[in-house]
Amino acid sequence: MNCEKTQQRFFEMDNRSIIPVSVQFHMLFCPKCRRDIIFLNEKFRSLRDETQYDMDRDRVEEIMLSVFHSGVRHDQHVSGFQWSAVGLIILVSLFLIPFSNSFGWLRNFFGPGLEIPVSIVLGLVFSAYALAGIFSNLEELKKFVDKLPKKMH
Amino acid sequence: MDNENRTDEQIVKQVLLGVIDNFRVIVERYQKKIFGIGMRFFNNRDDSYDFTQEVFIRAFESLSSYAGRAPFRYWLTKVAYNHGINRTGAKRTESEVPEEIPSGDSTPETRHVRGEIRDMLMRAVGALPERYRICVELYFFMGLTYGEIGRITGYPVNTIKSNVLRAKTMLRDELKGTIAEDYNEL
Repeated sequence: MNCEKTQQRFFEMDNRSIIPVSVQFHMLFCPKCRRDIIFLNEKFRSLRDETQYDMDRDRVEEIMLSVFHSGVRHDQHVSGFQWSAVGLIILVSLFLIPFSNSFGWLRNFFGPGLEIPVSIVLGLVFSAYALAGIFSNLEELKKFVDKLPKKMH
Repeated sequence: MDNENRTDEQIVKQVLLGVIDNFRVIVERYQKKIFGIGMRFFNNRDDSYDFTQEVFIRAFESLSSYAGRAPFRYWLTKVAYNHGINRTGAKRTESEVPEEIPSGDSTPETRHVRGEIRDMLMRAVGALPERYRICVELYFFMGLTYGEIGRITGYPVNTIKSNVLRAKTMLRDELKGTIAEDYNEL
């Protein structure tokens, strides 16, 4: 590859990419290209720390003031899918509880009527979980319900 | 870790976790770049200052939509470009290149050399078709890739590539025998 083609290849390089092997190979044997490419590469990179136009006023404080007054808060949001997935795991676990050894031991200790109060308590706990999930994703749920007839067709 | 050493993406994560004050680092890093995009759209300092402020507020408000798949500076540039288009009301109508003074940093020599290179690039940019100038600026000053610029501006990647190539060639020709080259040889 001649010098002109090497420089052309170098110029075709994109940002955040490395110098092509063919160019590097040519640079090994051509001191002029090596010097030119290193020089130009450094100059092109230095422009990233530059700006086209200078600001004579610093706007950081004004911007931050507006940001604080914007009232937007980026709270971490648990999606409906996550609520549902965890809910499903809890539900399956609730159904499996009567078959566990520990529950068998409790049944022997408290008598066969234990299942009813335990089911009521676990049902209430699960209902509370479901309600929390629904209320924290009301918007998502509304959109889903609105789109449901379209999906059905 | 010091905020100065953190990546944009790490800072954005903290802001999303509620450390709003860390957004200041993002503003400090990019206010000049966003101002530059504003100047390209409005060619007016006051409008560009307002534009800069609006872009950062918009970016903060929609920060949760940043998925973290692309570099943050790409996402921020996209917000700025779209806002510029909306504000000017006409797509792809960038203004003439105004005369500017160099920005301040490091030693006077480096500053001078950088200023010289920047002025050369701005001259090279000025010789390009008007609507493609912003592509070259986004490539050199924001460090975006051809693909990213294409997705932001809607121009074909090959067109962007050929304009950047033209700017690079002009820059190389202008750099020959200048103070920048002499400085490099010292």
